[in-house]
Amino acid sequence: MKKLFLLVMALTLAACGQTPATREAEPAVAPQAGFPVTVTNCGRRLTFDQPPGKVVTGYHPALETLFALGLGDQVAGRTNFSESAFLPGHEELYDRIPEISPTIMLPQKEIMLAQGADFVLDNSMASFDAGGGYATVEELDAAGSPVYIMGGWCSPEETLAFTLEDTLTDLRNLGAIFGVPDRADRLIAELRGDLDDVRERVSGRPPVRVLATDGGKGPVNAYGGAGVTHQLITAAGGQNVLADVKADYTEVNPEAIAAAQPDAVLISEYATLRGEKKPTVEAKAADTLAVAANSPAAKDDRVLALPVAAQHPGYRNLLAVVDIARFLHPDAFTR
Amino acid sequence: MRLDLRGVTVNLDGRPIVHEAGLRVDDGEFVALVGPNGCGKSTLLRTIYRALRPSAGLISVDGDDVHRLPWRESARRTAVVAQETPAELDFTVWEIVLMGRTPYERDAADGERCARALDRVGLAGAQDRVYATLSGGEKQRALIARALVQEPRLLLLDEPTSNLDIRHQLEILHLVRELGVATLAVLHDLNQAAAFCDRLYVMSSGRILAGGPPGEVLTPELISQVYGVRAVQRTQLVFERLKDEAEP
Amino acid sequence: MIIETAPVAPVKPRRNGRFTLLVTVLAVAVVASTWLAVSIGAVHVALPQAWAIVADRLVPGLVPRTWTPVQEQIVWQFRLPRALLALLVGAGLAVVGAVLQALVRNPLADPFLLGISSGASFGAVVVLIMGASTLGGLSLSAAAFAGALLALALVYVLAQRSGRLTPSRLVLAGVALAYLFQAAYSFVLQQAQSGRAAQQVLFWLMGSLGGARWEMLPLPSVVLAAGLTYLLLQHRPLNALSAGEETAVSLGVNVHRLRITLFVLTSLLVGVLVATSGAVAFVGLIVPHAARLLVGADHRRVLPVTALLGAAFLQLVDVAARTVAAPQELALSIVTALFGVPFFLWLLRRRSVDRAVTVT
Repeated sequence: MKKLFLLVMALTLAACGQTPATREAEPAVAPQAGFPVTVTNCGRRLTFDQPPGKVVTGYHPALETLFALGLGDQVAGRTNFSESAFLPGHEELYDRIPEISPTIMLPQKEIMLAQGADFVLDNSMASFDAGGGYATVEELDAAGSPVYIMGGWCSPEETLAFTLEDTLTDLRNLGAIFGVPDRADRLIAELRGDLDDVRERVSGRPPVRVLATDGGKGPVNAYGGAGVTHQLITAAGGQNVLADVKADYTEVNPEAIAAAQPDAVLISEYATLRGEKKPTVEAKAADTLAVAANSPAAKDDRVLALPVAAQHPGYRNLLAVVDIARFLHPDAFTR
Repeated sequence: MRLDLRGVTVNLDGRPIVHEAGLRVDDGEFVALVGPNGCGKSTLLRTIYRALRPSAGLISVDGDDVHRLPWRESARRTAVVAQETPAELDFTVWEIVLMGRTPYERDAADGERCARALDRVGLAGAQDRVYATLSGGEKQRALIARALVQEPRLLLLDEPTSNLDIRHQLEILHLVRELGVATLAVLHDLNQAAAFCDRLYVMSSGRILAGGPPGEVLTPELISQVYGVRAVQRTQLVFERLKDEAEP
Repeated sequence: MIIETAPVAPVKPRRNGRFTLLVTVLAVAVVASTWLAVSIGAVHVALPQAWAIVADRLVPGLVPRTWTPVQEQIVWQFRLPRALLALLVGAGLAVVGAVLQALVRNPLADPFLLGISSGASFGAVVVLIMGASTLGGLSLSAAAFAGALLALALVYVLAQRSGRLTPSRLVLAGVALAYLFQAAYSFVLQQAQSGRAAQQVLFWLMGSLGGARWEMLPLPSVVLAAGLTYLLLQHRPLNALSAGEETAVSLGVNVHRLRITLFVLTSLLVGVLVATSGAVAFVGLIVPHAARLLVGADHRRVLPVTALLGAAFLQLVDVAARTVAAPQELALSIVTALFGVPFFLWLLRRRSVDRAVTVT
């Protein structure tokens, strides 16, 4: 026990000792314009004297967001992603980065602290729970590895308050932190253009009633009227049939699903077990359509698999809006 | 009716507790089994009512090996009043007594049997009381009533009076004595045993050392050998006083 | 009441009249709670309509069709089978609790004491997390049942010594195995890639009747009916056993065979029920005690009252679970615990518990 403690201490000290040294050394040689940069995240002020160069990312959407900003080279360690398909071109970039965790979660405390990261990017607090054996945000901060949580997912309540603006804010903040604000602004403008295009195309069309679900014979696991998924549906010209349910992911009575009469169904796609590439979408769709047996969605068998990665804060949210809009309003995209 | 034990040996967890015990109880007899604590007398009794199995020897009631009889049949022949009392469940006295009919098919006369038995032990009117709320003497009498409705040919008593005051002890022993059912009773009080039994057996270290009428068996030599105490010949006088007190 | 002259008149215990009245009241409560369960839910279906749908299904063409297919689906496919399953699970778990309390002579015994539900939960978690293919395509309920049987076999092998089951060994083996199975499913749960899958498992572990369908009803019905019939026929040996092992032996009960039969029977019941509804806590603990407070310890009365009380109780619990936060659902154990824990604490303060727990 004592040995273990000393080891942790040694690692912590090593991490502490290393980072400030590099931090102090570099600005003297090449002071970078625009730095220091300060951003606020989860109520904490994060100050960077120079762009991070040794980044560790948690759940994959965080990494995707950095890829979108062209920052893949700055990432020194990442988690595993095998639950659904990569975004175009991302697999090669992913393969080049050392995998430090075989799951979607960050590695346990000691390994995490030993990474000596100068920036940690994730999209929920789950990987920083001391009870789960993870390094906490405070511990990482003390070790010179400041943590940024995407989408404002700092607490369960805050996940309900998510809007797509939060994703754009993350892009802007990351652009500033990494010293590429122009790149971030260009990407934001492009994505805003896409969102505007979708809004324009679907406006005036009758909203499609959408059920977003994760299967279940009863109670049905479904997405209520708060959080990422609801925002995606709304932005894509859909109407969440569970809009009145004040929850993100929750258990819903099958009666309510049967009565909801969705026109279309979104099914979360992910692997349930680490290392398995087993989309369970078909089975979940069958369960859901059996419950909503009298709905238009069941009659038309109108189902879209939605990667669960898109249902967490990250660059993919904005791509998903376009995909969902095309699915809900195919006619609007024929021009 | 005849209970016969021959060469009964009982092991508990591999340890021999009773060695080659032999005894008999004849019809209408009240036979006591006495001996110091830990001598194996309760173990022997439990083996007779099948809570334990003998590792050797034969226990027969009316010529049948008890341990080979169907369970219900052996319970029809032998009833037990033990020290252990069912305490925690809220059975009423009536329900406790009615349990005595467990070895038999249900019968329209069961109610009458129970009422008679309760009357016999002086608990008439207490039938709806919760067993756990009875006094020690009342509990013991309820258990005797249960043994009565079992209509046994042999009654086994395991220190039936150990938790009772002297007055209730005598009451219970008189009651059993008057039932006229063949009885084998484990008793810890030598004086009582001598006063109430027709014959008695003395056990020590798992063996039966002697058996016969109390006057012949309870010699000062045997008592000092078994209990390590000196027996004083005032016992006769004590019996008289106790008997007077018990029969108002 | 008894006149001390022979022959003594046969006496009937006073409780009989009260018992008949109580059973009638409880039967009415079961029917009323079921009526309530079919009448209300997350989606409003007008009362006459709800019952017209049931009537039409039972006697087609009896009433003119004034309802939508969705309403028919809600009432006939979801509410009615769910209400009936609630009765079965409530009655079954309560009866199992009553029997186990007699079997191990411990008032704190409940259906989950013997490790059976942990085994069932393990089977279910494996299917939920690792996928049905892991267990050769077993459905969730089949896997839960298989897990219960596995636990049953293990507890049985571990608890018996030369063909005998003793209560203390039964409880120790059951509790130890429960920990083993909990560790096993916690391990599987930790392997879960997704917080969503974990959330589904946790919900299932706390019990829900949300998955009730008609095809889930026959097996629990048959097992419960057979089990309850057997237990009622065995009420006298059960009484004797609950009065003590040696008492039971001296009353001609083959205690070892009875214990094994009761253990297997209760395990099968728990396995079948847990497979349909997950692990519903507290019903099996509190309902038998409530029943005994009403009718005393005699199993001839305790068993039917426990079954009826359990059925009505779980029916009301489930109505609450699916309407309080509608259309979201609460896990059943949350609702049962809200009633169960205060009762349990009150029970702990009773002298009889201390007394019984110290009985060896």
